[in-house]
Amino acid sequence: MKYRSNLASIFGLFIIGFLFSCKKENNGTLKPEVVIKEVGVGNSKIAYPGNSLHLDADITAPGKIGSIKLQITLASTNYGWDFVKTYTEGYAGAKNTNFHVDVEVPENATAGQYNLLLIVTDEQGEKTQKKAGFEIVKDATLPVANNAQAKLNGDMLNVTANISAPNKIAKIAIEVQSPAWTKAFDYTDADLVGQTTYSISKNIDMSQAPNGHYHVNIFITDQAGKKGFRQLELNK
Amino acid sequence: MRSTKKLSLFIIAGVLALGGCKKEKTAPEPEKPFDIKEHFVAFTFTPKSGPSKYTVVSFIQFLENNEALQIGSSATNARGNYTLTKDSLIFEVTGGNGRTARFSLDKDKKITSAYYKASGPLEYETTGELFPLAASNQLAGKTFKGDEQGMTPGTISRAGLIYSFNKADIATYGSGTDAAAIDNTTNSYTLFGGNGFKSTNSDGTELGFISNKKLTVFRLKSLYFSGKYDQQ
Repeated sequence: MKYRSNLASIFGLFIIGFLFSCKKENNGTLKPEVVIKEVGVGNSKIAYPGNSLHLDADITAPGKIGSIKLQITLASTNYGWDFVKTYTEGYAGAKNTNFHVDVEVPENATAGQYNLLLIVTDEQGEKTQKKAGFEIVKDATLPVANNAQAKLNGDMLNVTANISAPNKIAKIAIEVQSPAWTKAFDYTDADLVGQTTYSISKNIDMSQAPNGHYHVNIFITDQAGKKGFRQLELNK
Repeated sequence: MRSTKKLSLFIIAGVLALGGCKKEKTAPEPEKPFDIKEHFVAFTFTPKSGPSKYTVVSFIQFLENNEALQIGSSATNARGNYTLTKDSLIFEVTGGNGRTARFSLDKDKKITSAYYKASGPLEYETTGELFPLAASNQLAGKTFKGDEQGMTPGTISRAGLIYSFNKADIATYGSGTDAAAIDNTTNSYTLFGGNGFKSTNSDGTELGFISNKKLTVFRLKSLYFSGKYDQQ
């Protein structure tokens, strides 16, 4: 009887010990979830050569994000624009994030249907990918910001660009944006409204802006209502 | 006496419990499966016939969803699909710009033979190498020297041509036949897989890669130029 009791105790302790000692290795996690919210401004699924392609997605990764890979290729097999980049900085280790990037579409990008693939890999190697389609459309009358630059001199940000707008400029807006600090400025100066070309140079005071990574968005609206968009990045 | 027995039971249970996990801890790490996306192909093709002789360099970059890019001297890349089996790798572009690159692989995933056919009539002598994506720039700080061949068979367009690559983190290089005059900050390049490069500069568009201390380069400037250069 005593022998049986001892044997039962050993067996019981063995099970408890085994469960505790192996707990970490049995700890499974759910796969990442990816929701692509916007491809193109306002989820238009349209991009223009010489402008930025806006992408916005929500990512949930219970196993913590390891990397986010963005792959853009021509939908058919042929010569075309492609973009492949793996993002980790600012995302790795997070369980939830908003993935917001603006990819510059080169001026020579071939028009046509494109595939956009977003692949999220968590720290355990679990992968989820989401696909979206969009079209690159050539529109020679679209306003464009060429040679755009954003340079920080102390606390003063200088934004320059050569604007081309065959339908004549109606307004130029510059937005300096980060999760912590965002300011937007509209420019309708008399010398730029109505012009088809214009070299813009604007100084923006960033003395109140905390240090961090900023997007500088240049929006051009022409008198036909068409919009051009160019994004620059800088660190303060 | 009773507490000694209990202590013994605890020790036995502990040993057994640890033993239960021991196998998993001491088992050898499973070998990482081969992932073609962590590799790239550098291949060359030379016309088998015709009045011109040149060797074109091209890369294949493997993407998700069995897509791949052929990177050549064109401003944009050709998007195709790839098929990988245990002993072959096929890259294919269909349509008007169709082409097929086919490679035989041995058990170690080394390319043993290569074939390339574009949409034109030409047949090519083809070579290929499959490289793992190197974490560092294998070109950085290295200098290579050799003769650059012209398109006419047997002609040398530049004898003793030198390629000098800048140090790590600065993806620039210079080339020329006068070592003293070469400025290795002149041309910027895009690195492929750690040991391949592409540059568009005043000398045209150049693609090359290093393998076994040799740099193979193809240059397009209206005409085709090619060469193999020894590491100095």
